[in-house]
Amino acid sequence: MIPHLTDMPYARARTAALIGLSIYIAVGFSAHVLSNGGEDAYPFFSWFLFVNVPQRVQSGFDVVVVDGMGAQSLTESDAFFGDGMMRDILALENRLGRAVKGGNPLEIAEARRELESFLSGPVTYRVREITYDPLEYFSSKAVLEATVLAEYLL
Amino acid sequence: MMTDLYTRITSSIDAIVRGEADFEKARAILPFFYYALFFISFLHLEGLDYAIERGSAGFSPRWPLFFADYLSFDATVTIVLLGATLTALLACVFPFSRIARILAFCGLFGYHAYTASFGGPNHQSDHWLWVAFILIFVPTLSATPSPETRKTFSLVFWSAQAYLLLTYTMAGIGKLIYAAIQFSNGQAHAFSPDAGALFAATQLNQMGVSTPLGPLIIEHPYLAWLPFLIMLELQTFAIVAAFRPQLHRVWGFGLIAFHLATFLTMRAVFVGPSFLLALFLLSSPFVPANTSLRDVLFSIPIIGTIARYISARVVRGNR
Repeated sequence: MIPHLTDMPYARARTAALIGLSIYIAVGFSAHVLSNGGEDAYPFFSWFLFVNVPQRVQSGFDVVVVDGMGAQSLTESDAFFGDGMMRDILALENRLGRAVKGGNPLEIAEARRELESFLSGPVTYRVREITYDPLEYFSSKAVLEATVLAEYLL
Repeated sequence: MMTDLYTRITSSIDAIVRGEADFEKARAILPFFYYALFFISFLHLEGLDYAIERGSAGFSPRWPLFFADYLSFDATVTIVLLGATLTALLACVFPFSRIARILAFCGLFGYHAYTASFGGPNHQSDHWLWVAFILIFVPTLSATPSPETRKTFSLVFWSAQAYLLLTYTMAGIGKLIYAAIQFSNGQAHAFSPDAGALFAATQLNQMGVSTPLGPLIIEHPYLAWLPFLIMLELQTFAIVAAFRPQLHRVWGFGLIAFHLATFLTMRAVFVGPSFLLALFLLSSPFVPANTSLRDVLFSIPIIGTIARYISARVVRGNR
């Protein structure tokens, strides 16, 4: 039954192909607009990937060891952690920073526990909110502005 | 006006899809889609233990995995990965059987839904999924297919090409829309000289890694400007290339180069779509046999118009 249903004459198949492609565009774009740039209409997608160009001034959080472990920013410490772990470290720095800024004690405790599992004490470290130029930050880790949000001792 | 547009589009398709040598080539290429699908599925199956070990943290099944609510996570993953592999193998053996292609699509849909069930969507296999869906409609072939059947076969193959290229056009349009928004807000935008470097630096900062070419374009942002503009051209006008078969190989190569470049600069991985671009566009059965470099150049949107203008001026100047 299925072969007969879908073995369309050429002209009808051509119309169906154009309608199908049009539906894909319509659903993909509509989903993007209706969800305000968020979730897709699975399995359709708008393909709006990397559409927002990152700006010259960005903000985030970092953790700086001020006593112990060579006293440096964890972001610069790939000698300790290696490429494989840096992504986790960066995610934890931002998670801890957001928790401290938001005043969420449970999240702070959890993020600290996870972050400190990467450190070897005794260590004193500071959680900072930073603004930076991403190009400069990549090359030298230079920040434009840093505000210390908290200091912890391990 | 809409009727005129429809007529122009259908006439263009009729000029591409002839059901002659293009049919023979398309028929020869089709099984390779399923061979590759099987290879990929088998690789994923090899990671079954790891997938089970990783556990169900963050697993929120998409609707095609309706059965996941009634099974353990381990059983769901096993069914999904094994199902995708076995159905792909079946389609390798019977690529011209519609039932086998439907099953291969279902197997892939299960796998695709599984990878998209951990929070955000995973676009690595989006193209594979939709191409597998389109290929279901390849007509049943007899020993001596009629001209109508041969044309329909070629049409389905062209539709898969058009879908692939359409997604890049959608990505290009997205970049243009957001460029207008960011420009009007006085922000860096897709046409800014440092756009490519900003993307690379931001991505690499977030990942805490480096890449072979990332530091170079971050140090010299202008180096990435022209490639970024070419990428915008390639993406935005990709669907136009679908209607100009002399551009199929150029666009296939250009988009693969774009994926390679994003990997080498910002470690954005798009391996899956690259293979499909190679299979469907680099090997396109619709590329005219005798196409000059000049024809190719002149048919490229914008660049071709500029080239034609310059060429006309040069010819006039020589008279």
